Amino acid sequence: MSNKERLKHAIEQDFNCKRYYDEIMNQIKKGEEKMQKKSNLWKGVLLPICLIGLISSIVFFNTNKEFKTNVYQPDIEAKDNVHLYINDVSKMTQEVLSIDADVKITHIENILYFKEIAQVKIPSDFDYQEAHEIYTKPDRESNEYSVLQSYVFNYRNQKNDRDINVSFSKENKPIRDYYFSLEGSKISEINNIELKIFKYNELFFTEFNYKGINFDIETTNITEQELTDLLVSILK
Amino acid sequence: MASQQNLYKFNEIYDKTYLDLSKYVIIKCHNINDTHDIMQEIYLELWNLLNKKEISTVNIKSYLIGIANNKIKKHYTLIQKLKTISLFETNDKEIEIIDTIEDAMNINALIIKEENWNAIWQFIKNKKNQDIPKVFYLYYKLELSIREISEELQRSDSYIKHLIYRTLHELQVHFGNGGN
Repeated sequence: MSNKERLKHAIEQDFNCKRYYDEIMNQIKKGEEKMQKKSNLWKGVLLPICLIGLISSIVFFNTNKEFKTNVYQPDIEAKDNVHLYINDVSKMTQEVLSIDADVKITHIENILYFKEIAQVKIPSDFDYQEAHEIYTKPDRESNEYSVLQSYVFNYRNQKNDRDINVSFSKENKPIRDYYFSLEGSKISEINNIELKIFKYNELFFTEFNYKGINFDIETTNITEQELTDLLVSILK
Repeated sequence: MASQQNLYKFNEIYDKTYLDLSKYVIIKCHNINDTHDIMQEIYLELWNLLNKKEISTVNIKSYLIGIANNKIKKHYTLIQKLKTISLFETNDKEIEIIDTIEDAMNINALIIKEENWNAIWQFIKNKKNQDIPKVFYLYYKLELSIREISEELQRSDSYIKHLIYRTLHELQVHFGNGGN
């Protein structure tokens, strides 16, 4: 077998039509078993539910709404000037918006007001950092991405499974491609500055305005204490 | 049974579309390692649709490409796009024009142990510049020509050649001479 054939064989082992098919079938089977269990459950409780249908449907609706945003206080080192609430939206359906933007790599020092965020406290295992400029089109018809919309700093660990992205701009609210309802969320406060913190599975999101700069922060796999240290280091 | 009929239909569509769809997803995705998840999402959606309504198989490929576009869009947040953005300069002006490296691009000239090729593909797949695994997939798996690849990826021929040449050279350094 030639090297060319060996590489082709290695690619085919990885992108394997039959293996993909088996995994899809497994997923389908799992989904159908789940549906079957649900269906059996409903059969057993159908009569009692019909009897209390009117009352329980209202309660269920309200309970369900409450369930969407689960607000809790993080387990962090207590400080007088730090009052945090995490709005856990993991159970909510995610909407994804598409964004038309271009990205350029830049240096932190090139940003005029980088000093405001140069001293952010990031976890000790975060060895990498990159800075990007986000550009958008001046209008829908334009072909050029000429408007500097915001900056993004990305900090991450070597394994690339934990990271922090700090987006910011004085002129604009940094663009994001996710949206969730703010309904039922609770406001946090650090050094008298208000902000809302959201959690979606292993991600934390927050946005706030500090010293005229709009911040939007997204983190992956960091602890509540690490998030608090990060925010306190910005909101001095 | 409806479910059995749907399974036959699903299998038929899968066999008919898998190769073209995986090629499409590989070209369009930001990271080749995401292909598996995206493909799974596409075909799961197809299965759900087959169970909900009658789907014509006449234009099924275009139909699945439409689903693929949505899945790819939804798969990537802006931040993920930033994480996987290529650090390799793609501006053609910056790249040395290489018209004479055809002979140097001979993978069979590399002296590499047979058992290393799976590791080599993983090495290629995890390159920061994700054009590299895409080019290797299209060139060595699908056996497309340089011109066809440059059209698929909307890059210049010289850029594609440069990626192959440079990566083969790197493979020789990392895995060559029968070493590890």
